[in-house]
Amino acid sequence: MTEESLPSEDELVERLKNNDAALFERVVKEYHSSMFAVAYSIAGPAIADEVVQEAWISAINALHKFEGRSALKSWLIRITANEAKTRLRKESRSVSLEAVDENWATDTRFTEKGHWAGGNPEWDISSPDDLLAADELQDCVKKHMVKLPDNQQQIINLRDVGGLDMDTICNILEITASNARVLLHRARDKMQQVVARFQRTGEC
Amino acid sequence: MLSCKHTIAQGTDYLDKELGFWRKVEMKMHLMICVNCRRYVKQLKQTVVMLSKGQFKQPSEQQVEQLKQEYQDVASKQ
Ligand SMILES: [Zn+2]
Repeated sequence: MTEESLPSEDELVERLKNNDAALFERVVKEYHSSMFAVAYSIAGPAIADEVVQEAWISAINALHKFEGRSALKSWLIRITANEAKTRLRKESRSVSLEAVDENWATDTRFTEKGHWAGGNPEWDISSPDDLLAADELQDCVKKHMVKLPDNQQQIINLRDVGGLDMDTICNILEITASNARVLLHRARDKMQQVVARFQRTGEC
Repeated sequence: MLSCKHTIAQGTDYLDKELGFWRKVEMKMHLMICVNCRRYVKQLKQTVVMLSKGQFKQPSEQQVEQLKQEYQDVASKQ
């Protein structure tokens, strides 16, 4: 959500390769946040900042080789994820993340007859834009994202924040496609619960 | 008829267009008659949209300046 949107991919890459520092600054401001979320989920809070810094430096040095076969953002996210993995192998994680209830089978959001009862009616009126306007909700989601189990946190950040496709994600995380889909759904479902509760009660 | 539980469990695959043809038809039929599942899928979608547009952590001015410097140094060598 920067002031103005970036130029088209082709133009963007072309100008970045031709020393357009002002544009580079806008790119940093646009994508840094997603890169940070990915770094945080894979490498942990202690070194996330360094990982992103290193990822940018790798990207700057490799930019002349970038061929535009993927979007620039995907390329940056991939570099970040790989940097995070490399760092993680060198250092053990400093913070153990609080586990979230994994009790999928006995989900209380279903009625005894197996009907879904977990939504909330008032919410139908809000469009995605209304949601975005709620900074408090964003903060609430962020707070709960970091409580997801590691693997769920990684996948939802790579997929929904970072915008990578599932094949790339499976490669990065070294998991199967079906496993990835299950983990992604669990993570999204938990975030949906956070959003639904916030909308219903106004509390995080 | 697809159960609510099954519908909810397929929510992500539905949004990501990963369901096969008949699965998708079954799901759409269920959503047509079940307001609760319809709401769930809508909320799930809004959650995904929010994540894709959300700002999680902005770089500091200092970080931006450092990176810009690095960018210009590398660019001038090429
Ligand atoms: Zn239903």
